[in-house]
Amino acid sequence: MTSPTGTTRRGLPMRLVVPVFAIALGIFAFVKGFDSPPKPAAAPVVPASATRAGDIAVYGAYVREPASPQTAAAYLVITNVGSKTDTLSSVSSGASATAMLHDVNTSGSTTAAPSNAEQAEGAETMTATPNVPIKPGQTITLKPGAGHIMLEGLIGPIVPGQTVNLLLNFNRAGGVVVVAPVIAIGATPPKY
Amino acid sequence: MSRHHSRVIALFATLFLALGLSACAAPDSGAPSDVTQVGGAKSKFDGLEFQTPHERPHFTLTDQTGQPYDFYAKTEGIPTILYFGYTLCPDVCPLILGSLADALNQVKDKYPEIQVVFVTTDPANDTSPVLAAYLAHFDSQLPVKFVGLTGDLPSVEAAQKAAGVEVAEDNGKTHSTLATFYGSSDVAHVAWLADTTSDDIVHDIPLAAK
Repeated sequence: MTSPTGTTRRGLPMRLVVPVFAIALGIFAFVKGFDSPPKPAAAPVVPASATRAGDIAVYGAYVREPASPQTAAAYLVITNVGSKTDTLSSVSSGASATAMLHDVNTSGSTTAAPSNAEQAEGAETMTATPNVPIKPGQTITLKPGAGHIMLEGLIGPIVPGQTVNLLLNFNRAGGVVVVAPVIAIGATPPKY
Repeated sequence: MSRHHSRVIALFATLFLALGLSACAAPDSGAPSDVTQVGGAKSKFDGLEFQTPHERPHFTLTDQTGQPYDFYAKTEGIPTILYFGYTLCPDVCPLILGSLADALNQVKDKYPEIQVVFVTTDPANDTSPVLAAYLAHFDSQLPVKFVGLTGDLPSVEAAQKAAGVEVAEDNGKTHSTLATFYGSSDVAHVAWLADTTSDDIVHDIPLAAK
């Protein structure tokens, strides 16, 4: 296969092949910016706008303007940046007689997997989830179809431009007051 | 070109290809993970494609003005979106009705005739006046106002059976979130779920309006 001189007839010496490969790899590593795998132990990143209490960060909160005079839903994201599991044990709001957590997906996946054929077919359920454990580094996202804070017995109309105060009680972090803007019925949720 | 040379080039090509591919994230379909494309990944719809088209159902209930409403007779030949929910639903019902209204507002010049029919799964609370007040939050910009239907519990359950959706339980709180779109030919090929965006609905309307 190799010629006696160790070079190809067209002149790329075989002894150069390995260095050339090495250089190519180097260029790739440079271009890719040393794309090292994420460290699992890295603290989760939360937006600067997050409301913090202890190791709990809450952000992305909003309430969709309700069409019913009686009920509304609030959505938000909770991240545990600490090293111990914390539990969201109750919620309340100044805008309604009662507030309750429903259908919160605590499995840790970012999207709620349909748990049965009915849900795959698009069934909606309303199950209270009074205690939501949040593991170290875990983020719980409440979003339509995957958990919400149900505000029942609205004290007055809730219209865009207003804000709704939500009090979240965590076993470790204590109380966190979150100010949730009200968005119009057809509006897209605020970015965070 | 020598064999060595071509082997070097082949190796380089392989190396580039491998690295190039590994540097590239898996393409995101953009579809919410819980919207199953029943028609498979090749479905032309952004919503949920029925493997077997659904026929426009027959049922009669009471509308938001208190008058009897024969669904088939009133909507025959008209592109119609049928949805079952309840006004105290905090979560998916206002979301999907808002998306539908937003989508219909975008296509109203081309498809002004599309009719939305909302059937309550909680008739104990959702009387005709309650439905009228509720739906007025959504259809103020639209040429055709939403219709809200109620009746006794057996009648609303019969309507759900006729439409082929899961019959609601727990006073209507556990209910199907399918918004089924019957075209002017009186069959439905597509339905939208709560997390289907108004853009997806705008995309699907021309494909299923007939």
